Amino acid sequence: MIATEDDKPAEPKEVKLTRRDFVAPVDVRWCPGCGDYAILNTIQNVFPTLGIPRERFVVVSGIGCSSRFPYYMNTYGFHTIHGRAPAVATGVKLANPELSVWMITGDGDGLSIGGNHLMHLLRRNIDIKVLLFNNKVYGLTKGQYSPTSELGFIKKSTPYGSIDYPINPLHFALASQATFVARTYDTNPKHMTRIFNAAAAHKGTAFVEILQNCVIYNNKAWADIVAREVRDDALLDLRDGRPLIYGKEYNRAIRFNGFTPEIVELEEDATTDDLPLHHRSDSGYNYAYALAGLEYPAFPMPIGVFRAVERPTYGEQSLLQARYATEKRGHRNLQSLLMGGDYWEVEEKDALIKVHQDPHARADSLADEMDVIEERRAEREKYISDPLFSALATRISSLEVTYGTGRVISIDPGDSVNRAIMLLKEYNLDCLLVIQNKKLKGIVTSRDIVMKVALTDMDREKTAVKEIMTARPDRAESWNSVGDAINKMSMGSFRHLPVDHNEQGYGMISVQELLGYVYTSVKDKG
Amino acid sequence: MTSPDTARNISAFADTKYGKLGNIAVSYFTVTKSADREFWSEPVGRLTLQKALTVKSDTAVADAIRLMQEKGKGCVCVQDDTGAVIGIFTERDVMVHFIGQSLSPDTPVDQVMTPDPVMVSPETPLSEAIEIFYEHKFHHLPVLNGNGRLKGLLSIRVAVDFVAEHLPGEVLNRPPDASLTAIEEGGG
Repeated sequence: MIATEDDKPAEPKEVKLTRRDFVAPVDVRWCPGCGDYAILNTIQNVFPTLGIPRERFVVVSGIGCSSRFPYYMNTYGFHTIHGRAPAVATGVKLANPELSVWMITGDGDGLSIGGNHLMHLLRRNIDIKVLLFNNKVYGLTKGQYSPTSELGFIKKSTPYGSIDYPINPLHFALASQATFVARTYDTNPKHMTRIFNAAAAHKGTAFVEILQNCVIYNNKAWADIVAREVRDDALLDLRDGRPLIYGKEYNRAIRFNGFTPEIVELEEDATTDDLPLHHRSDSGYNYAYALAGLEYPAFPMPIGVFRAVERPTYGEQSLLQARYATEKRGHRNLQSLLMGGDYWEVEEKDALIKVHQDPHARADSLADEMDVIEERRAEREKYISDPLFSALATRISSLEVTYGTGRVISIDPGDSVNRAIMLLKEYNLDCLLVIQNKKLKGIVTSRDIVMKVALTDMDREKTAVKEIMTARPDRAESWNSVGDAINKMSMGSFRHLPVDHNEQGYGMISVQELLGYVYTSVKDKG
Repeated sequence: MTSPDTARNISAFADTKYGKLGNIAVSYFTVTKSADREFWSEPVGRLTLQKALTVKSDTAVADAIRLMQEKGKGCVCVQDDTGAVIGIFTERDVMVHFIGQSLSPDTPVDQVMTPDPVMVSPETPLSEAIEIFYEHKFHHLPVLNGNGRLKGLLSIRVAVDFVAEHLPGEVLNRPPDASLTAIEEGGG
């Protein structure tokens, strides 16, 4: 296209488009009988009816048989790398929001190699239409099992049957927070047309699973469901606002009893008034998820639009955000970003490093930093002035002044149990520190005496304290906060915590003192 | 120039949770919201109470201690024939009256227990319980129902855990080595 003088794209002329406009002048090379032909034909019929100029269509694909699609569409297109169609399609759509971007992928490309990419495309709700051709096999690489192959699927790469549990593409899409989820199948162009139109009309990521036959490596992949003679009984066509009725005689319906689906047989004169109606705009995911979980033969397989809800698209939001940033910081360009700012230049090994500073960028980043610093200062102020937080942030060493570290009584690990008992009783304590060579070896508590000594025939004179003490107890450093100490008490279920003052020896704090201190601080100042 | 529409859009956008990206609100401290601090007045009946060990008043001291040892508990509640709690027998009582004393192991527990113990009701606020714990250096508090029956024991460990859970930023999620706490965002 030639840009006009004022650099605006020319308004496209109203041209009546036909199918022929979208047929590329190349030979279509898929295996004879492949389901892809019918899908291609249907898309070529749908595109001219969408009211979009041909030059605004872009078809992007990954790798696989289905991913040959862009060659056969006479539009702009990209045949990209394996699993990465979502990344390229995202770039295309964000760079030029006017484009109608259609992404073609398959069960391998979309759910295995590019599963992660597809997930993020869906959750971002980028306005891209995703057609996932599901033939339950890797066709292009000659028939290995794919993420949707059934358990027990026997092929060259799974001679004894696949033991990988298959993924349900619709469940994948719903779990990825897709706003539009639909299913159709390759042998019903009318149905495909309806679904592609609905997808085109959706603002956001539209995910369409197409049940498709691979005539060579997984022939009759879906035949037991979609074949003309069985499909009326095997498929349930979802229509918005209508009950979930299906069957050749239109005499059965699906109803949910809580989360459990059940089949209802409709009597000839039965009223359908009490049947629940399909709501594709249901804002939650559970209903669509339950519908997508219906599997043949226990249930008919639903086709149609499962979910279609509105949510702001990524494109809209990124545009708004860019405008917001421009208002705040003015226009920028990539070149100035790359060339400006702070960077270091290292000429050779061990040479001096040249530091470059861009005063403008520096000022900008300083301004940003100042904002953050100011916010943090305000928060810290709030924090410090709050009695609860200031109590929790207090160093435990300052608490010990109040409670007196002098009360700490220590004992040597070799001392007798009797001596420990005597000290505990004499000073009316619950806990002694066991210290040797100025190192904390353990603690011994009245609980240890009651649990391990009372009523036993232990020789309390000959038994050393180290036999009954709790060895290598957890301890706090004197600069730890009250919050730290409470954390240790809670995590370790301790009632006493030795406090390490390094050169000054050890102190101790009890759980009652800690809680009492915090609550009293709040009560007094709060 | 920005049209009024765009300006409106932008300000609306800045108000959404997505829009916060436009003026990053950095919250370095995980400050517990003030509403979450009502935990001080939480009735103790809503905390997890322990099942209390109970003995009759004529139980031998040795049997009471053995029960504590078997169950690994720091106290037993002493009940009269009607089931009313008339005392509490704790580790401290064992230390004071039994260990290193010449008390006969057959002595009835009611002679060495702490009579008329401090007890609370399920409606007692946690703050009051903490004050009692602190003042008396208790580890356990019997909780009585309205009808005077023993509902359970409030242990100070449960109280500590309860407080910690309500202060995720200041207590619960403190790093094991507090010296590793980042002083600046991104580690400075």
